[in-house]
Amino acid sequence: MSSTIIIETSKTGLSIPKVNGVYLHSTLDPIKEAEAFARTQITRTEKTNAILILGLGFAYHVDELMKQLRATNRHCNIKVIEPNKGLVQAYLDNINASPNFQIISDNDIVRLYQETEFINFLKLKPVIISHNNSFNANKTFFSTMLSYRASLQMQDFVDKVDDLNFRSYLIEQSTQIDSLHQLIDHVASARDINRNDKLLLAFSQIIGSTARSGEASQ
Amino acid sequence: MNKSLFINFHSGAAFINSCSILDSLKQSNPHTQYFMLTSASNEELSKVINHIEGFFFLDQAEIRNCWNTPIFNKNIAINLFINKIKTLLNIKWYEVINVSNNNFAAYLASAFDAENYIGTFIDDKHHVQYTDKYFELTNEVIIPKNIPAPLAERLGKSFGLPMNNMSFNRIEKFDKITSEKFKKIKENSNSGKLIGIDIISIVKNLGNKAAYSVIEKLDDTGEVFLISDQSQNSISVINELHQESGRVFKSITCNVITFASVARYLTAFYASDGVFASIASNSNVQTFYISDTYNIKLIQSLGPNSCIITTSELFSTENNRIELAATHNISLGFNYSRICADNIELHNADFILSLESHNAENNNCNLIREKINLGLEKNYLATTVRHTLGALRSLRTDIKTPTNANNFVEYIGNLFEVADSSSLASTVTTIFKSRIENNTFDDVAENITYIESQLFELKNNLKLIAIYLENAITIKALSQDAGV
Repeated sequence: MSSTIIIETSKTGLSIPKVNGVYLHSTLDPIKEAEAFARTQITRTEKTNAILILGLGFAYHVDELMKQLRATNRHCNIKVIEPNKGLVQAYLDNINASPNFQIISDNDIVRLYQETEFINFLKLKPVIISHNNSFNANKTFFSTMLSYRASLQMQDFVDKVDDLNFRSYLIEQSTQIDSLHQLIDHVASARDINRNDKLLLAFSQIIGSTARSGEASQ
Repeated sequence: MNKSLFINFHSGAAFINSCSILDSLKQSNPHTQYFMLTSASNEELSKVINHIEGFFFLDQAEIRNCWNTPIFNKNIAINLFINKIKTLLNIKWYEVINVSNNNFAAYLASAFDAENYIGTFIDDKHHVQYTDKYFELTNEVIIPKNIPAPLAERLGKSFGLPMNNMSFNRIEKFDKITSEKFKKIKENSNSGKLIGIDIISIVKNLGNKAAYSVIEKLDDTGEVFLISDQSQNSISVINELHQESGRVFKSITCNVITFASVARYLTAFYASDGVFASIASNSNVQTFYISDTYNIKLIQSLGPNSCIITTSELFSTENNRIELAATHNISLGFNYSRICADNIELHNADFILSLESHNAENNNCNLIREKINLGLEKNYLATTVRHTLGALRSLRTDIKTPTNANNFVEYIGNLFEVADSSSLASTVTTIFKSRIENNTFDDVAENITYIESQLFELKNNLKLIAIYLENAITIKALSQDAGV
């Protein structure tokens, strides 16, 4: 993702990044803009302590949101996704300190959804807040990220199964059967079943009929 | 030292009740190490369970959520599942005990490597296997109909072990405080009886008004304590009761571990359902489940030392039932003597279990004799035998001819109807129905042989019921002649 990043100064004297000719913050008063942003977004965070912000910029919006959360004695787990690594570096150089939130700077969406830490964070059902200027600067990335659907083809995920034995079993099956639900159907009607088949059928009982519906919905 | 894996995917009271066998198991096998695989939702409850070397928790809800979340790669759900049980899969177990008996647990239990399997399993031929008839009769894998028999008692019979009181894990410090407090309360009490009420379960099932009536009714019997958990909701419910009644009741807030300490000092415990009742009944406290109806689910959740008492019984003005209940020693076992007399289904499971042990003349069967219409049952049995013999005849002749095939299907259909009925023959027919519906033989000849063997077994069981009914009719006639 190549981009031109120019750092300029706002009227209030703060550094603001300009990416490919687009300012990511107000050229007049980034703090005032961030305050208004945080005020409108903070109500959306009331039911969760996990917040995923799309777009870093120079994080005035993030800092302000954290400030307003602290004012109400709330400590949220905040992660910011910024695919533009150059921008992330520029931001870190600019603040010259460690940020109080985690920045995820991976522009490979498939890899992003494989990261355990990110997955565990998503399990917290974070509220997703979009920083519009940053979102528009990386529209393709963020839109693809938000509309991402994991592949149901066994060949696309079996090699990422941790357990060697069960992975080998699934890899072997995936040469003949495309999806897990087809494999479950096949094993459920099999006359002879082995240990791995039993594990698979136990797994199918956990995911229930949604094994099919989940796939059908995609 | 042998290692046993105890698989228990029940939840709530059923989880506690199905762990009640552990004390007896440990006593019989002191050198066996027991490990438990259970749901993550049981993590809190597991803290009171004794005799377990290590717990392994599987979070089915999380696995399901991961699978159903479209953005999560499918290996994540699979890894969540396999990684949690990986250690267990690598152990050569002396035995795997599956007390949960649903399809999920049956498949999972069968995937572990063990010398012995106890409970319900799926073999390599994809057939459901049981270690005994108690598991077969009361499992959820192939029996569609709920059997009204308490889970804990079934397990005891299945293992052929007496159901000892459970030795719950407790906190020593809290035990000491509880002991001192209750000693003082007992000393200052007129009756010396300490009565616990799980007021939240009663409010939930019967409402505030009934809950208040229960407290009032028990008030004269002894020192009454409202037991509740520490949630905001429970505190609100108790505050509401205080406001509505204009009284302030003595209350104790507990979690499962602290309640295990409290329960030891109670004379009786009243609830509508829930884990507190289960802990109380398994701690040798007479436990009364207050309900407005008799339902199968409630009967299944009964622990030892417990019985159901209906609101109509509780508030009866004819006699003081509470006094009776508080002093009457309810023995272990399927004693339904205080349960609604008209509901024959309540006795069915017990009846067939008695037949299996060739002990048709035990007390419980005597109870049945008093409750049923012997003439009607005899007619019903005769019809069931006719269908059984008809099905056997159709099989013995050429089953491939359309007439015989039709007749056979009709006889089997009639037997399946008996399974769904409310009669003494229904339980044995339910077993037959479940086995037929779940047999997985592909081969026609194998299938016919299997069905034939099951029909013969059904015929034998029906014969046992016939003998029982004949005896019962004779005894009843003799009693009438003697003017008893």
